Amino acid sequence: MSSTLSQFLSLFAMSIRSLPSRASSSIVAIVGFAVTGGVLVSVLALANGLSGFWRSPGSDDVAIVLARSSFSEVGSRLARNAGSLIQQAPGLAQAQRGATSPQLVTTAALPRASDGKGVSVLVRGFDGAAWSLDRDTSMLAGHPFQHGLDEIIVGEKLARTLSGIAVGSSLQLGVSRFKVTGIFKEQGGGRYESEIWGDANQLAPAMGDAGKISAIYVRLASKDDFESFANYLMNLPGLDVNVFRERDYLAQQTDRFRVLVMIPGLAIVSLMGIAAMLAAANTMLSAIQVRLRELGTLRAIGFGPTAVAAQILAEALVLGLLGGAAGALIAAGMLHGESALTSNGLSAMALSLSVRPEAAFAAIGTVLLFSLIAGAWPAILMSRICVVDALRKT
Amino acid sequence: MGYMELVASGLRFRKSQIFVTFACVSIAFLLLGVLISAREAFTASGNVASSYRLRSQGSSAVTAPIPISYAQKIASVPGVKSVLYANAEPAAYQDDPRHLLLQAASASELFGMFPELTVPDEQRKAFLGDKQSLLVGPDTLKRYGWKLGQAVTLQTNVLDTTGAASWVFHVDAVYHSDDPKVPGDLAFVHYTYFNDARVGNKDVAIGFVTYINAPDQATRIASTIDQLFATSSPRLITQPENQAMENQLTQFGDFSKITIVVAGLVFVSMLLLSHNVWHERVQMRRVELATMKALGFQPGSVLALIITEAMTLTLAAATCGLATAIVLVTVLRPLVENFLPGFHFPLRGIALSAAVAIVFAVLSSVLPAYRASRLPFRLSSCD
Repeated sequence: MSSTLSQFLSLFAMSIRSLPSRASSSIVAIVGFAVTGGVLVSVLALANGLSGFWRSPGSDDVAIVLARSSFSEVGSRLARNAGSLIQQAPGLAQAQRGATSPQLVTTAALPRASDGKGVSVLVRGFDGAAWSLDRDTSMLAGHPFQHGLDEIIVGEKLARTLSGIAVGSSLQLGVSRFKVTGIFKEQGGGRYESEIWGDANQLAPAMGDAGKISAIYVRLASKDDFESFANYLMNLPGLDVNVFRERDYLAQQTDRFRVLVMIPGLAIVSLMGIAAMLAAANTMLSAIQVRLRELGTLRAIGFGPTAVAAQILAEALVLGLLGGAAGALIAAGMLHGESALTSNGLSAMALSLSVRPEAAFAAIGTVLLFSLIAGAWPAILMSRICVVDALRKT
Repeated sequence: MGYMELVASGLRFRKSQIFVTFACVSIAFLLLGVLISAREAFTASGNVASSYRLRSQGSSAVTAPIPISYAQKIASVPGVKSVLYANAEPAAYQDDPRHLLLQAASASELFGMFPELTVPDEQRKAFLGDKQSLLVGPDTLKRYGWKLGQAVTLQTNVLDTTGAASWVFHVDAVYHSDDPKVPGDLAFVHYTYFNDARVGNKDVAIGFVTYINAPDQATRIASTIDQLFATSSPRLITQPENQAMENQLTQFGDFSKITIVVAGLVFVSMLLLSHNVWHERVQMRRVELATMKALGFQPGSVLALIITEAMTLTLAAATCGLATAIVLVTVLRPLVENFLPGFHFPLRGIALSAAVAIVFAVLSSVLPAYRASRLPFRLSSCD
């Protein structure tokens, strides 16, 4: 066994030293692996940005009340008085102040920083003192908007991706101009950082939704109260609503995006991986073709088939490691800390693309796996070859 | 021995290498085919009629009701030919879980507004003459197994004066369209049918479509319309139709940039691979090629032979990859049509792919072919 190992080690050292003489085909394999590694890192960075966006999975004891015909806050409109009807429903967490929070959710087209094209941005208006149901948000700069004034605050990630947003600047929303009094951040950087917040009573008339709200967030006494709460509201005459658990509502919004971005992204990565694998197999095949006589000689002077095969695999792994690491590093260097603006179909989602070390290692690991598969074919071929034939080959 | 047999025998040398190259190039063209198809969905419609249309909707909520009296004011703007107002009402047929979106439109403007919907004259007349008529696409007809002239009862969210939500329609007309961007499952009904009998929400629409006389006036007329309602509630947002579609889709990201980067990376790495393959093959076949030259083949014909071999392999691989892409796109289309309307492989994509394939083949083989043409008759002993 130890002799196989020492045979392998000396063969491996030799093959690495002879790599420069096979430079052009090795570079092809490395470039193939680098492209795969780079694209994989980009998809993982996007996935990471997304999981940051949907960081909070929503809680089971928060219910969202929407108009019956709507499946999203943006399209939903309820009369203002719906809020007071809901106060009577069973299952509310009565003790806490602000157990219900009526919110107006609408969109406004604002220019994005990259090319000035309009993107549809989510604007959330809060009613009265019920600021929000204890979200982990804090002001990064400036101060919160004041109720009764045309003031808004902007999420940090959104502020970075839109053009001309700073504390003290103003934005045209509907018929009024709103002053940006602050930039807020959410603990961990979730979806609220892609929103603009203000006073519902100021935003509604400006945006043509006077007297309307979109959704009512309700904190329930416990998560088991959801059924009775939902049943009560859905059967209440004069109130046409749909009630969702916050967790279900968010999951449904995530799915839509996953279908649009993640599945195509991964499909492209796997196709590229197959192509890179084939390219590397090609490289290894021509490498053994060129070295056929050399490898045959090695077998003839006593190197075992396992050592020769393992050496081919090891060379493939080295190519994979070089390519995968280069691709992952280049992609990470280009993407890390960047923010991307995309959409869930209704409103903008500002994602921060960060490449975590785990993601980079996962990408390199995948590329190594590809290179192992690519090396297996020539390795098996080589371990089976008839020594005499190999020696006669020109 | 014919010339193509010579080419074929060249390609039979080291089949495993040829197979791997074929597979790699196929994958590159498969990706190209799918990206071209997706790009179709992300670019503005090439439809001529589309550039004559403006779309208006309420400025805030997606479904804010707007009084239909707006239509008359829009029609008074110079350069406007006709205005259509519409409501969208979801409807269900029997127990079928798939919903149908009924576009309740002002019927008299319908055919002039959407000339890409081809409807036979007698069906057109039947549709216009009957308030209860329903104009559907071929997909809808097939989905529910309806026949032309059949009366169908649909469940909607619209209540009539008796409190019922089911409405009877006559399937009087079926449209067809040569434009792949026109979905096959649209359904149009008369605005007046709902409006005359419904309770509440009378005389409102969710949007307007305006047909203008000259496409180059689109942006100007759109802003004139918006100014007209600047102080009304709700206000309108009007966009040229193709711009509206493009805006909606660019929200997901800069798709054309991503396409070019991905396709570029794949093609550059595959080009490197192919070039390397041809380089190696010339190196390995140098004895054979030198013999050919000794037999009287001119340098030019050796060069042409290698390039033709590369061309044959690349074109075969490109055809295979594109065919797979077209099958894949056709299979996926019904699944993604809701997200990506117009996801299809365009005919001119074949021309583009053919051009890419030819350039690819020449680029990958021209240097090795040149080297082959310059091979000396006698190989030096160190070779």
